[in-house]
Amino acid sequence: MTEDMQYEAGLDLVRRLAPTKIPELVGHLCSLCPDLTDDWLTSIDQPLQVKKCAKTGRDFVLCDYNRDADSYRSPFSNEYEPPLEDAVLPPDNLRQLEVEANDIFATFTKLYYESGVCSVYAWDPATEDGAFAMGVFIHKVGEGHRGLDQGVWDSIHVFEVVPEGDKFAYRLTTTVLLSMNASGTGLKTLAGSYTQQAENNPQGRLWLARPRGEHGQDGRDNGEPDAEQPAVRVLRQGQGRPG
Amino acid sequence: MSEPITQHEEEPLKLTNEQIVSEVTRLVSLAPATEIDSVIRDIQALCSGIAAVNEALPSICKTYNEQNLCLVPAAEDFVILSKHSSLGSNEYISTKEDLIVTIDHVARKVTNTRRLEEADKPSRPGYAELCDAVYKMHVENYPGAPSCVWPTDDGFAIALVAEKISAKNFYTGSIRSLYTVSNGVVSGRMWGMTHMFEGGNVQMDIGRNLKPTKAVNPDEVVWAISEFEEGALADVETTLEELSERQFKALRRALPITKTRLDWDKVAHDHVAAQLGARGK
Repeated sequence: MTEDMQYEAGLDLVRRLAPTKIPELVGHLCSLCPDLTDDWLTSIDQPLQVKKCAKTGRDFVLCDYNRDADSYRSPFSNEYEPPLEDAVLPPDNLRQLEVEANDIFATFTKLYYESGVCSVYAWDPATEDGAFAMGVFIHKVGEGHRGLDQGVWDSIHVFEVVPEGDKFAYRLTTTVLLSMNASGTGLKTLAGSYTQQAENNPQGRLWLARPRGEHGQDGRDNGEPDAEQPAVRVLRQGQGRPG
Repeated sequence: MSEPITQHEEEPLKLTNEQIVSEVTRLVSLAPATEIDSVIRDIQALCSGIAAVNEALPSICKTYNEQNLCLVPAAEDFVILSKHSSLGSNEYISTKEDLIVTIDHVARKVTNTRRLEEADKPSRPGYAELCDAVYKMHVENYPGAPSCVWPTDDGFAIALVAEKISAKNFYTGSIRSLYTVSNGVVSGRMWGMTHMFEGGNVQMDIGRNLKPTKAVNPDEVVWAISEFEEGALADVETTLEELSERQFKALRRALPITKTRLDWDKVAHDHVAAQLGARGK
Protein backbone atom coordinates (compact mmCIF):
# COMPACT_ATOMS: atom_id res chain seq x y z
CA MET A 1 0.00 0.00 0.00
CA THR A 2 1.57 3.29 -1.07
CA GLU A 3 1.48 6.54 0.86
CA ASP A 4 -0.65 8.06 -1.90
CA MET A 5 -3.25 5.33 -1.41
CA GLN A 6 -3.19 5.88 2.34
CA TYR A 7 -3.55 9.63 1.81
CA GLU A 8 -6.55 9.09 -0.48
CA ALA A 9 -8.06 6.64 2.00
CA GLY A 10 -7.88 9.34 4.68
CA LEU A 11 -9.59 11.86 2.41
CA ASP A 12 -12.29 9.31 1.60
CA LEU A 13 -12.96 8.79 5.29
CA VAL A 14 -13.28 12.54 5.76
CA ARG A 15 -15.94 12.59 3.03
CA ARG A 16 -17.93 9.75 4.62
CA LEU A 17 -17.76 10.11 8.40
CA ALA A 18 -19.86 12.56 10.36
CA PRO A 19 -18.70 16.12 9.52
CA THR A 20 -19.09 17.10 13.17
CA LYS A 21 -16.30 14.65 13.96
CA ILE A 22 -13.71 16.02 11.50
CA PRO A 23 -11.23 17.29 14.13
CA GLU A 24 -11.38 13.96 15.98
CA LEU A 25 -11.08 12.07 12.68
CA VAL A 26 -8.00 14.03 11.63
CA GLY A 27 -6.44 13.18 14.98
CA HIS A 28 -7.02 9.45 14.41
CA LEU A 29 -5.63 9.62 10.85
CA CYS A 30 -2.48 11.41 11.98
CA SER A 31 -1.99 8.88 14.79
CA LEU A 32 -2.24 5.96 12.38
CA CYS A 33 -0.08 7.49 9.61
CA PRO A 34 2.03 10.27 11.15
CA ASP A 35 4.09 10.75 7.97
CA LEU A 36 0.98 12.06 6.20
CA THR A 37 0.13 14.59 8.92
CA ASP A 38 1.21 17.66 6.98
CA ASP A 39 -0.52 16.53 3.78
CA TRP A 40 -3.82 15.96 5.56
CA LEU A 41 -3.64 19.13 7.65
CA THR A 42 -3.20 21.26 4.52
CA SER A 43 -5.88 19.42 2.52
CA ILE A 44 -8.66 18.85 4.99
CA ASP A 45 -10.80 21.84 5.84
CA GLN A 46 -11.53 21.83 9.55
CA PRO A 47 -13.88 23.95 11.64
CA LEU A 48 -12.17 27.24 12.45
CA GLN A 49 -10.93 28.19 15.90
CA VAL A 50 -10.54 31.68 17.22
CA LYS A 51 -7.98 33.28 19.55
CA LYS A 52 -7.66 36.70 21.09
CA CYS A 53 -4.70 38.74 19.83
CA ALA A 54 -2.56 39.45 22.88
CA LYS A 55 -1.48 42.84 21.55
CA THR A 56 -4.72 44.30 20.21
CA GLY A 57 -7.37 42.31 22.11
CA ARG A 58 -9.16 41.48 18.85
CA ASP A 59 -10.19 37.96 17.89
CA PHE A 60 -8.50 36.32 14.95
CA VAL A 61 -9.00 33.02 13.17
CA LEU A 62 -6.61 30.10 13.55
CA CYS A 63 -5.98 28.02 10.43
CA ASP A 64 -3.21 26.30 8.58
CA TYR A 65 -2.41 29.45 6.59
CA ASN A 66 -1.32 31.52 9.61
CA ARG A 67 0.26 28.60 11.44
CA ASP A 68 3.95 27.94 11.82
CA ALA A 69 4.83 24.97 14.01
CA ASP A 70 2.49 25.38 17.00
CA SER A 71 2.14 29.15 16.78
CA TYR A 72 -0.40 31.31 15.00
CA ARG A 73 0.17 34.77 13.47
CA SER A 74 -2.27 37.53 14.38
CA PRO A 75 -3.31 39.53 11.29
CA PHE A 76 -3.47 42.64 13.51
CA SER A 77 -0.11 42.56 15.24
CA ASN A 78 1.62 40.43 12.57
CA GLU A 79 3.22 38.53 15.46
CA TYR A 80 3.08 34.84 16.29
CA GLU A 81 1.46 33.62 19.49
CA PRO A 82 3.21 32.04 21.25
CA PRO A 83 6.30 33.84 19.93
CA LEU A 84 8.35 31.91 17.38
CA GLU A 85 11.88 32.57 16.17
CA ASP A 86 12.57 32.72 12.42
CA ALA A 87 8.87 32.43 11.77
CA VAL A 88 7.31 32.77 8.34
CA LEU A 89 6.09 36.32 7.71
CA PRO A 90 4.54 37.73 4.55
CA PRO A 91 6.74 40.11 2.51
CA ASP A 92 6.07 43.82 3.09
CA ASN A 93 3.95 44.33 -0.01
CA LEU A 94 1.70 41.37 0.85
CA ARG A 95 1.49 42.47 4.48
CA GLN A 96 0.18 45.85 3.31
CA LEU A 97 -2.36 44.07 1.10
CA GLU A 98 -3.29 41.91 4.08
CA VAL A 99 -3.92 44.91 6.36
CA GLU A 100 -6.20 46.54 3.81
CA ALA A 101 -8.00 43.31 3.07
CA ASN A 102 -8.68 42.73 6.78
CA ASP A 103 -10.28 46.19 6.96
CA ILE A 104 -12.40 45.69 3.87
CA PHE A 105 -13.55 42.19 4.76
CA ALA A 106 -14.43 43.39 8.27
CA THR A 107 -17.06 45.55 6.56
CA PHE A 108 -18.22 42.57 4.49
CA THR A 109 -18.52 40.43 7.63
CA LYS A 110 -20.50 43.08 9.48
CA LEU A 111 -22.98 43.46 6.63
CA TYR A 112 -23.60 39.76 5.97
CA TYR A 113 -22.97 38.19 9.36
CA GLU A 114 -23.66 41.07 11.83
CA SER A 115 -21.22 39.50 14.25
CA GLY A 116 -18.46 36.97 13.68
CA VAL A 117 -14.70 36.89 13.32
CA CYS A 118 -13.01 37.48 9.96
CA SER A 119 -9.29 37.18 9.23
CA VAL A 120 -7.40 37.52 5.96
CA TYR A 121 -3.94 36.04 5.39
CA ALA A 122 -1.69 36.55 2.38
CA TRP A 123 1.30 34.58 1.25
CA ASP A 124 3.68 34.29 -1.63
CA PRO A 125 3.13 31.03 -3.52
CA ALA A 126 6.65 31.42 -5.00
CA THR A 127 5.46 30.62 -8.52
CA GLU A 128 6.05 33.70 -10.62
CA ASP A 129 6.64 37.44 -10.24
CA GLY A 130 3.68 39.34 -8.88
CA ALA A 131 1.62 36.27 -8.03
CA PHE A 132 0.11 36.02 -4.59
CA ALA A 133 -2.38 33.98 -2.65
CA MET A 134 -4.81 35.02 0.01
CA GLY A 135 -7.24 33.35 2.35
CA VAL A 136 -10.35 34.88 3.86
CA PHE A 137 -11.67 33.07 6.92
CA ILE A 138 -14.97 33.83 8.62
CA HIS A 139 -16.23 32.19 11.82
CA LYS A 140 -19.72 32.88 13.10
CA VAL A 141 -21.54 31.29 16.02
CA GLY A 142 -25.31 31.73 16.02
CA GLU A 143 -27.21 31.59 19.28
CA GLY A 144 -29.78 28.90 19.77
CA HIS A 145 -33.41 29.67 20.36
CA ARG A 146 -36.77 27.89 20.58
CA GLY A 147 -35.35 24.44 21.12
CA LEU A 148 -32.59 24.79 18.53
CA ASP A 149 -29.03 24.73 19.79
CA GLN A 150 -26.38 27.14 18.57
CA GLY A 151 -25.20 26.85 14.98
CA VAL A 152 -21.74 27.46 13.58
CA TRP A 153 -20.77 28.81 10.16
CA ASP A 154 -17.18 28.71 8.89
CA SER A 155 -16.17 30.10 5.49
CA ILE A 156 -12.80 29.37 3.94
CA HIS A 157 -12.01 31.29 0.76
CA VAL A 158 -8.60 30.76 -0.85
CA PHE A 159 -7.56 32.94 -3.80
CA GLU A 160 -4.70 32.38 -6.14
CA VAL A 161 -3.93 35.47 -8.22
CA VAL A 162 -1.48 35.86 -11.11
CA PRO A 163 -0.90 39.11 -13.05
CA GLU A 164 -1.34 38.92 -16.81
CA GLY A 165 -0.34 42.24 -18.28
CA ASP A 166 -2.75 44.80 -16.88
CA LYS A 167 -5.21 42.14 -15.77
CA PHE A 168 -5.22 39.31 -13.22
CA ALA A 169 -6.08 35.67 -13.56
CA TYR A 170 -7.54 34.17 -10.43
CA ARG A 171 -8.95 31.02 -8.99
CA LEU A 172 -11.14 31.01 -5.91
CA THR A 173 -11.82 27.89 -3.90
CA THR A 174 -14.53 28.29 -1.30
CA THR A 175 -15.50 25.84 1.39
CA VAL A 176 -18.34 26.44 3.80
CA LEU A 177 -18.59 24.31 6.94
CA LEU A 178 -21.92 24.44 8.67
CA SER A 179 -23.20 22.81 11.83
CA MET A 180 -26.74 23.12 13.13
CA ASN A 181 -28.00 21.19 16.11
CA ALA A 182 -31.43 20.51 17.48
CA SER A 183 -30.66 17.94 20.14
CA GLY A 184 -34.07 18.26 21.79
CA THR A 185 -35.91 17.18 18.65
CA GLY A 186 -36.03 14.13 16.42
CA LEU A 187 -33.59 15.85 14.08
CA LYS A 188 -30.33 15.73 16.02
CA THR A 189 -27.79 17.37 13.73
CA LEU A 190 -27.56 18.84 10.27
CA ALA A 191 -23.94 19.53 9.42
CA GLY A 192 -21.50 19.43 6.60
CA SER A 193 -19.09 21.08 4.24
CA TYR A 194 -19.39 22.08 0.63
CA THR A 195 -16.70 23.25 -1.77
CA GLN A 196 -16.92 25.13 -5.05
CA GLN A 197 -14.53 26.89 -7.35
CA ALA A 198 -14.66 29.90 -9.58
CA GLU A 199 -11.97 31.14 -11.89
CA ASN A 200 -11.02 33.68 -14.48
CA ASN A 201 -8.31 31.92 -16.40
CA PRO A 202 -8.23 33.05 -20.01
CA GLN A 203 -4.83 31.49 -20.71
CA GLY A 204 -5.66 28.07 -19.28
CA ARG A 205 -2.82 28.20 -16.79
CA LEU A 206 -2.07 25.57 -14.19
CA TRP A 207 -2.37 26.70 -10.60
CA LEU A 208 -0.29 26.35 -7.52
CA ALA A 209 -0.98 28.03 -4.20
CA ARG A 210 0.58 26.78 -1.02
CA PRO A 211 2.18 28.65 1.85
CA ARG A 212 5.91 27.96 1.94
CA GLY A 213 8.15 28.51 4.88
CA GLU A 214 11.01 27.04 6.79
CA HIS A 215 8.80 25.38 9.33
CA GLY A 216 6.12 24.35 6.91
CA GLN A 217 8.39 23.23 4.11
CA ASP A 218 6.88 20.50 2.05
CA GLY A 219 9.44 17.87 1.21
CA ARG A 220 7.29 16.73 -1.70
CA ASP A 221 7.47 19.97 -3.66
CA ASN A 222 9.41 19.69 -6.89
CA GLY A 223 8.69 23.28 -7.87
CA GLU A 224 6.41 22.30 -10.75
CA PRO A 225 2.96 23.87 -10.89
CA ASP A 226 0.34 21.18 -10.49
CA ALA A 227 -3.39 21.74 -10.64
CA GLU A 228 -3.98 18.80 -8.30
CA GLN A 229 -1.76 20.07 -5.45
CA PRO A 230 -3.27 18.97 -2.16
CA ALA A 231 -3.38 22.53 -0.85
CA VAL A 232 -6.16 23.45 -3.26
CA ARG A 233 -7.69 20.06 -3.64
CA VAL A 234 -11.23 20.29 -4.89
CA LEU A 235 -13.89 17.72 -5.26
CA ARG A 236 -14.09 18.07 -9.04
CA GLN A 237 -17.04 20.45 -9.01
CA GLY A 238 -18.09 22.40 -12.03
CA GLN A 239 -17.10 26.07 -12.03
CA GLY A 240 -19.32 28.29 -9.92
CA ARG A 241 -20.05 31.93 -10.58
CA PRO A 242 -18.25 34.34 -8.27
CA GLY A 243 -20.80 35.81 -5.90
CA MET B 1 -11.23 20.47 19.20
CA SER B 2 -7.84 18.83 19.07
CA GLU B 3 -4.71 20.94 18.69
CA PRO B 4 -3.08 20.76 15.26
CA ILE B 5 -0.24 18.31 14.95
CA THR B 6 2.88 19.64 13.21
CA GLN B 7 5.89 17.97 11.78
CA HIS B 8 8.20 19.99 14.00
CA GLU B 9 7.07 18.49 17.27
CA GLU B 10 9.23 15.77 18.65
CA GLU B 11 8.94 12.51 16.70
CA PRO B 12 5.40 11.20 17.32
CA LEU B 13 5.24 8.30 19.74
CA LYS B 14 4.81 4.96 18.00
CA LEU B 15 1.40 3.60 18.91
CA THR B 16 1.14 0.21 20.57
CA ASN B 17 -0.97 -2.44 18.86
CA GLU B 18 -3.60 -1.93 21.52
CA GLN B 19 -3.74 1.79 20.79
CA ILE B 20 -3.95 1.20 17.05
CA VAL B 21 -6.85 -1.21 17.52
CA SER B 22 -8.54 1.35 19.76
CA GLU B 23 -8.19 4.04 17.05
CA VAL B 24 -9.60 1.65 14.44
CA THR B 25 -12.52 0.66 16.69
CA ARG B 26 -13.44 4.29 17.13
CA LEU B 27 -13.18 5.01 13.37
CA VAL B 28 -15.44 2.08 12.53
CA SER B 29 -18.00 3.19 15.11
CA LEU B 30 -18.32 6.55 13.32
CA ALA B 31 -19.13 4.99 9.95
CA PRO B 32 -22.60 5.43 8.41
CA ALA B 33 -24.12 1.95 8.00
CA THR B 34 -24.87 2.61 4.32
CA GLU B 35 -21.15 3.08 3.61
CA ILE B 36 -19.47 0.72 6.04
CA ASP B 37 -17.88 -1.33 3.24
CA SER B 38 -16.03 1.74 1.90
CA VAL B 39 -14.98 2.73 5.41
CA ILE B 40 -13.54 -0.73 6.12
CA ARG B 41 -11.60 -0.60 2.83
CA ASP B 42 -10.16 2.80 3.77
CA ILE B 43 -9.14 1.54 7.21
CA GLN B 44 -7.51 -1.52 5.70
CA ALA B 45 -5.54 0.78 3.39
CA LEU B 46 -4.46 3.01 6.29
CA CYS B 47 -3.44 0.04 8.42
CA SER B 48 -2.01 -2.06 5.64
CA GLY B 49 0.44 -4.60 7.00
CA ILE B 50 -0.55 -4.18 10.66
CA ALA B 51 -1.39 -7.74 11.75
CA ALA B 52 -3.09 -6.62 14.96
CA VAL B 53 -5.70 -4.72 12.96
CA ASN B 54 -6.44 -7.66 10.67
CA GLU B 55 -6.86 -9.86 13.73
CA ALA B 56 -9.14 -7.38 15.49
CA LEU B 57 -11.34 -6.42 12.52
CA PRO B 58 -13.70 -9.45 12.63
CA SER B 59 -14.66 -8.69 16.21
CA ILE B 60 -14.87 -4.93 15.62
CA CYS B 61 -17.06 -5.46 12.56
CA LYS B 62 -19.29 -7.99 14.36
CA THR B 63 -20.03 -5.46 17.10
CA TYR B 64 -20.68 -2.74 14.53
CA ASN B 65 -22.89 -4.94 12.34
CA GLU B 66 -25.07 -6.03 15.24
CA GLN B 67 -25.41 -2.56 16.76
CA ASN B 68 -26.33 -1.02 13.40
CA LEU B 69 -28.64 -3.81 12.12
CA CYS B 70 -26.47 -4.29 9.05
CA LEU B 71 -27.98 -6.11 6.08
CA VAL B 72 -26.41 -9.10 4.36
CA PRO B 73 -27.99 -10.61 1.23
CA ALA B 74 -29.10 -14.21 1.78
CA ALA B 75 -31.07 -16.52 -0.52
CA GLU B 76 -33.87 -14.21 -1.63
CA ASP B 77 -34.00 -11.58 1.07
CA PHE B 78 -31.63 -9.80 3.43
CA VAL B 79 -30.56 -11.08 6.82
CA ILE B 80 -30.60 -8.41 9.51
CA LEU B 81 -27.62 -8.76 11.85
CA SER B 82 -28.52 -8.09 15.48
CA LYS B 83 -27.85 -9.53 18.91
CA HIS B 84 -31.49 -10.71 18.70
CA SER B 85 -30.87 -12.71 15.52
CA SER B 86 -27.52 -14.08 16.66
CA LEU B 87 -27.21 -17.78 17.49
CA GLY B 88 -23.54 -17.42 18.43
CA SER B 89 -20.46 -18.47 16.44
CA ASN B 90 -21.26 -15.92 13.71
CA GLU B 91 -24.55 -17.69 12.92
CA TYR B 92 -27.74 -15.66 12.46
CA ILE B 93 -31.32 -16.66 11.97
CA SER B 94 -33.54 -15.41 9.16
CA THR B 95 -37.05 -16.32 10.28
CA LYS B 96 -38.63 -15.07 7.07
CA GLU B 97 -36.58 -17.44 4.92
CA ASP B 98 -36.27 -20.23 7.53
CA LEU B 99 -32.49 -20.10 7.18
CA ILE B 100 -29.47 -20.04 9.45
CA VAL B 101 -26.55 -18.22 7.84
CA THR B 102 -22.90 -17.97 8.82
CA ILE B 103 -21.48 -14.49 8.33
CA ASP B 104 -18.07 -13.10 7.45
CA HIS B 105 -18.39 -9.86 9.37
CA VAL B 106 -15.55 -7.99 7.67
CA ALA B 107 -16.74 -8.76 4.13
CA ARG B 108 -20.39 -8.71 5.23
CA LYS B 109 -21.12 -11.86 3.26
CA VAL B 110 -22.86 -15.17 3.89
CA THR B 111 -20.31 -17.98 3.94
CA ASN B 112 -22.64 -20.87 4.77
CA THR B 113 -26.38 -21.51 4.76
CA ARG B 114 -28.49 -24.23 6.29
CA ARG B 115 -32.20 -24.74 6.54
CA LEU B 116 -33.96 -24.06 9.81
CA GLU B 117 -35.26 -27.36 11.16
CA GLU B 118 -39.01 -27.54 11.74
CA ALA B 119 -38.43 -28.13 15.44
CA ASP B 120 -36.25 -24.98 15.67
CA LYS B 121 -38.72 -22.61 14.03
CA PRO B 122 -40.15 -20.03 16.43
CA SER B 123 -43.44 -21.29 17.83
CA ARG B 124 -44.00 -19.10 20.87
CA PRO B 125 -47.69 -18.21 21.32
CA GLY B 126 -48.47 -14.90 19.64
CA TYR B 127 -45.41 -14.96 17.40
CA ALA B 128 -47.20 -15.69 14.12
CA GLU B 129 -49.89 -13.07 14.79
CA LEU B 130 -47.26 -10.46 15.66
CA CYS B 131 -45.31 -11.25 12.48
CA ASP B 132 -48.45 -10.84 10.36
CA ALA B 133 -49.32 -7.48 11.91
CA VAL B 134 -45.77 -6.11 11.83
CA TYR B 135 -44.92 -7.21 8.29
CA LYS B 136 -48.21 -5.73 7.02
CA MET B 137 -47.33 -2.40 8.68
CA HIS B 138 -43.82 -2.46 7.21
CA VAL B 139 -45.02 -3.25 3.68
CA GLU B 140 -47.44 -0.31 3.89
CA ASN B 141 -44.97 2.20 5.33
CA TYR B 142 -41.59 0.98 4.02
CA PRO B 143 -42.19 -0.94 0.78
CA GLY B 144 -39.31 -3.27 -0.01
CA ALA B 145 -37.43 -2.64 3.23
CA PRO B 146 -36.12 -5.74 5.03
CA SER B 147 -37.62 -6.35 8.44
CA CYS B 148 -37.78 -9.20 10.91
CA VAL B 149 -39.41 -10.30 14.14
CA TRP B 150 -37.45 -12.57 16.48
CA PRO B 151 -38.38 -14.25 19.73
CA THR B 152 -36.26 -13.11 22.67
CA ASP B 153 -35.81 -14.39 26.20
CA ASP B 154 -38.83 -12.54 27.52
CA GLY B 155 -40.81 -11.56 24.45
CA PHE B 156 -40.06 -10.43 20.90
CA ALA B 157 -37.76 -8.05 19.01
CA ILE B 158 -38.85 -6.16 15.88
CA ALA B 159 -36.30 -4.71 13.46
CA LEU B 160 -36.63 -2.70 10.28
CA VAL B 161 -33.93 -1.39 7.96
CA ALA B 162 -34.89 0.95 5.11
CA GLU B 163 -31.93 2.09 2.99
CA LYS B 164 -31.50 4.20 -0.08
CA ILE B 165 -28.06 4.07 -1.68
CA SER B 166 -27.19 5.87 -4.90
CA ALA B 167 -23.44 6.16 -5.33
CA LYS B 168 -23.73 7.69 -8.80
CA ASN B 169 -25.92 10.45 -7.36
CA PHE B 170 -23.62 10.84 -4.36
CA TYR B 171 -26.12 10.17 -1.61
CA THR B 172 -27.09 7.48 0.85
CA GLY B 173 -29.69 7.39 3.58
CA SER B 174 -31.38 5.03 5.96
CA ILE B 175 -34.05 4.68 8.61
CA ARG B 176 -33.58 1.90 11.13
CA SER B 177 -35.69 0.80 14.06
CA LEU B 178 -35.46 -1.76 16.81
CA TYR B 179 -38.23 -2.41 19.33
CA THR B 180 -38.78 -4.99 22.02
CA VAL B 181 -42.12 -6.28 23.22
CA SER B 182 -42.41 -7.97 26.59
CA ASN B 183 -44.96 -8.17 29.40
CA GLY B 184 -47.50 -6.11 27.46
CA VAL B 185 -45.11 -3.19 26.86
CA VAL B 186 -43.36 -2.06 23.67
CA SER B 187 -40.29 0.21 23.68
CA GLY B 188 -37.25 0.88 21.55
CA ARG B 189 -35.90 3.47 19.14
CA MET B 190 -35.79 4.72 15.59
CA TRP B 191 -32.70 6.31 14.10
CA GLY B 192 -31.27 7.22 10.73
CA MET B 193 -29.19 9.50 8.59
CA THR B 194 -28.89 11.04 5.16
CA HIS B 195 -25.55 11.71 3.53
CA MET B 196 -24.89 13.82 0.45
CA PHE B 197 -21.31 13.81 -0.77
CA GLU B 198 -21.23 15.53 -4.13
CA GLY B 199 -18.86 18.44 -3.71
CA GLY B 200 -18.68 17.98 0.02
CA ASN B 201 -19.98 16.00 2.94
CA VAL B 202 -23.37 16.97 4.35
CA GLN B 203 -25.14 14.72 6.83
CA MET B 204 -28.35 14.80 8.80
CA ASP B 205 -28.76 12.60 11.85
CA ILE B 206 -32.17 11.74 13.25
CA GLY B 207 -33.23 9.65 16.20
CA ARG B 208 -35.91 9.24 18.81
CA ASN B 209 -36.73 6.78 21.58
CA LEU B 210 -40.09 5.11 22.06
CA LYS B 211 -40.76 5.20 25.78
CA PRO B 212 -42.32 2.04 27.25
CA THR B 213 -45.90 2.00 25.95
CA LYS B 214 -48.67 -0.35 26.92
CA ALA B 215 -49.42 -2.83 24.08
CA VAL B 216 -51.01 -6.15 25.03
CA ASN B 217 -51.70 -7.56 21.56
CA PRO B 218 -50.18 -7.32 18.05
CA ASP B 219 -52.62 -4.63 16.90
CA GLU B 220 -51.71 -2.41 19.84
CA VAL B 221 -47.99 -3.00 19.22
CA VAL B 222 -48.33 -1.98 15.59
CA TRP B 223 -50.47 1.03 16.50
CA ALA B 224 -47.97 2.24 19.12
CA ILE B 225 -45.04 1.88 16.72
CA SER B 226 -46.85 3.57 13.79
CA GLU B 227 -47.95 6.53 15.90
CA PHE B 228 -44.47 6.93 17.31
CA GLU B 229 -42.71 6.78 13.94
CA GLU B 230 -45.13 9.12 12.18
CA GLY B 231 -44.72 11.63 14.99
CA ALA B 232 -40.94 11.34 14.93
CA LEU B 233 -40.70 11.86 11.17
CA ALA B 234 -43.14 14.78 11.27
CA ASP B 235 -40.94 16.33 13.99
CA VAL B 236 -37.89 15.94 11.73
CA GLU B 237 -39.65 17.79 8.89
CA THR B 238 -40.77 20.60 11.18
CA THR B 239 -37.30 20.99 12.67
CA LEU B 240 -35.70 20.99 9.23
CA GLU B 241 -37.93 23.88 8.28
CA GLU B 242 -37.10 25.72 11.52
CA LEU B 243 -33.37 25.25 10.95
CA SER B 244 -33.71 26.59 7.43
CA GLU B 245 -35.94 29.53 8.31
CA ARG B 246 -34.37 30.61 11.57
CA GLN B 247 -31.03 29.19 12.51
CA PHE B 248 -29.53 29.26 9.02
CA LYS B 249 -30.61 32.85 8.42
CA ALA B 250 -29.36 33.83 11.88
CA LEU B 251 -25.91 32.64 10.83
CA ARG B 252 -25.66 34.57 7.56
CA ARG B 253 -27.93 36.99 5.79
CA ALA B 254 -28.69 36.36 2.14
CA LEU B 255 -28.33 40.14 1.64
CA PRO B 256 -27.22 42.99 3.90
CA ILE B 257 -29.89 44.95 5.72
CA THR B 258 -29.94 47.39 2.79
CA LYS B 259 -31.44 44.57 0.68
CA THR B 260 -28.78 45.20 -1.98
CA ARG B 261 -25.55 43.33 -2.60
CA LEU B 262 -22.36 44.73 -1.21
CA ASP B 263 -20.89 47.42 -3.45
CA TRP B 264 -17.19 46.55 -3.39
CA ASP B 265 -16.14 49.68 -5.24
CA LYS B 266 -17.87 51.82 -2.62
CA VAL B 267 -16.25 49.88 0.21
CA ALA B 268 -12.81 50.27 -1.39
CA HIS B 269 -13.47 53.97 -2.00
CA ASP B 270 -14.60 54.52 1.60
CA HIS B 271 -11.54 52.63 2.82
CA VAL B 272 -9.16 54.84 0.81
CA ALA B 273 -11.02 57.96 1.94
CA ALA B 274 -10.73 56.89 5.57
CA GLN B 275 -7.00 56.28 5.14
CA LEU B 276 -6.45 59.69 3.54
CA GLY B 277 -8.51 61.29 6.28
CA ALA B 278 -6.40 59.60 8.94
CA ARG B 279 -3.14 60.72 7.27
CA GLY B 280 -4.40 64.30 6.97
CA LYS B 281 -4.84 64.59 10.74
